[in-house]
Amino acid sequence: MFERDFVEEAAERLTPPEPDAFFQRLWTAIDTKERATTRRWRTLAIFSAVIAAAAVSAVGVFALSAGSTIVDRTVSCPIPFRAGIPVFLLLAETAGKTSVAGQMHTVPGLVWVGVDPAFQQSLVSLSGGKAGYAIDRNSCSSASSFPLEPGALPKYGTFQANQLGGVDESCFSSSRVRVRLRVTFAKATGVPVAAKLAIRNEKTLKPIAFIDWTPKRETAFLSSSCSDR
Amino acid sequence: MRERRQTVLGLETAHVVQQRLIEAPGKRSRFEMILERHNRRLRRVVAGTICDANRVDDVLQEAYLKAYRRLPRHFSNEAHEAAWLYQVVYHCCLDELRRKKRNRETATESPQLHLVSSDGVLGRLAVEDAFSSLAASDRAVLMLCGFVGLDSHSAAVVLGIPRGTVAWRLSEARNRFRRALAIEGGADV
Repeated sequence: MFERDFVEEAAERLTPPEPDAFFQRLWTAIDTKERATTRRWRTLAIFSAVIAAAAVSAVGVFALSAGSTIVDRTVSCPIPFRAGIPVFLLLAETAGKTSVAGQMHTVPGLVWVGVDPAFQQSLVSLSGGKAGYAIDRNSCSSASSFPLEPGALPKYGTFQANQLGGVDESCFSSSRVRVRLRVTFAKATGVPVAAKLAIRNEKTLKPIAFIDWTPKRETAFLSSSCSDR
Repeated sequence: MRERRQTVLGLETAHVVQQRLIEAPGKRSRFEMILERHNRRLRRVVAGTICDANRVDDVLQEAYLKAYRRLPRHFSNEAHEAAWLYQVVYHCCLDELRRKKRNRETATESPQLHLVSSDGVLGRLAVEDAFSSLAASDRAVLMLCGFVGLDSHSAAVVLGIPRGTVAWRLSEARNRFRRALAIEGGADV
């Protein structure tokens, strides 16, 4: 049809050439999105497990003590060897919505340090909402505090709630790490409103990771020994 | 009961995560094949609908990202596949047009209409100009039906309108395109 020729010609002339990197850019975006989704789902699973644990028993899961609004704990935790190298896992997520089996769930946010690849048992963790924070007292022991700052760690990124991006890392470390967690709770609700987490090599106290977290925004600083999962 | 339900949710979530990791390679190659079939035409549909060469890549990337995330496990036939994919792309075009309207941007400026030369031959620029001067809804139906060749049923699915309305819109868009082309000497378009 004559008119079809004109439409086709117009379309051809209006269409810019496809850039060489078009599909490379697309797959990078898809990979990023999928990692974020997987991380969110994992966060939801962890959060659900923490809630469940808290409901069953108070062991290791601490609610806010009456009258206090800040909790500051420093512990030393062992890191088991995996394939000959001590590795711990670090997950940090702002609050957000995620879809599981077609249903939207709101996850209040999470900061999680552990060695369990199934993410069931943490060494140190903080869950948003009223779940509070948790320290594995069977594994970790109290330790002297250290400065709660990123030091010379390079900035990994800043992530806002309900956006792509977060922390989901495997970090090589020494056989023990020292972890400091400082949590600020809202007076009225007892819900965490801010937290700082710092992880250092136990022997040298060299910084490995630093997370500055609120439910709406987190900033992460990571050493080169941490890599995306 | 609450703790059990939440533990079950956690287990279900972990299972879903594992399933996604297993499915990923198959899904990716399937999506690649689908894009291989449709990418060239989809690129032109986006260009013809939004009439902004600078935004075509971004709109198409956004559409493909959405399509990948929502990709059904299977399509009943090729027409179903095409209708589904073009619908995703078309909605991204609409989002882009709404965004521009909100930002009060003008894409490529609606160019001045260049009428045909006296010997009746349409300048190439005239065709592009005439097409760009149409409303986005006219351009969309002309691209989908006139260029891609979707049948009225598929076009109705993509555009989200009744099948009968597709025919009417296409007829009106053709008329407006003819007038915009404005061929001298009475030659039919």
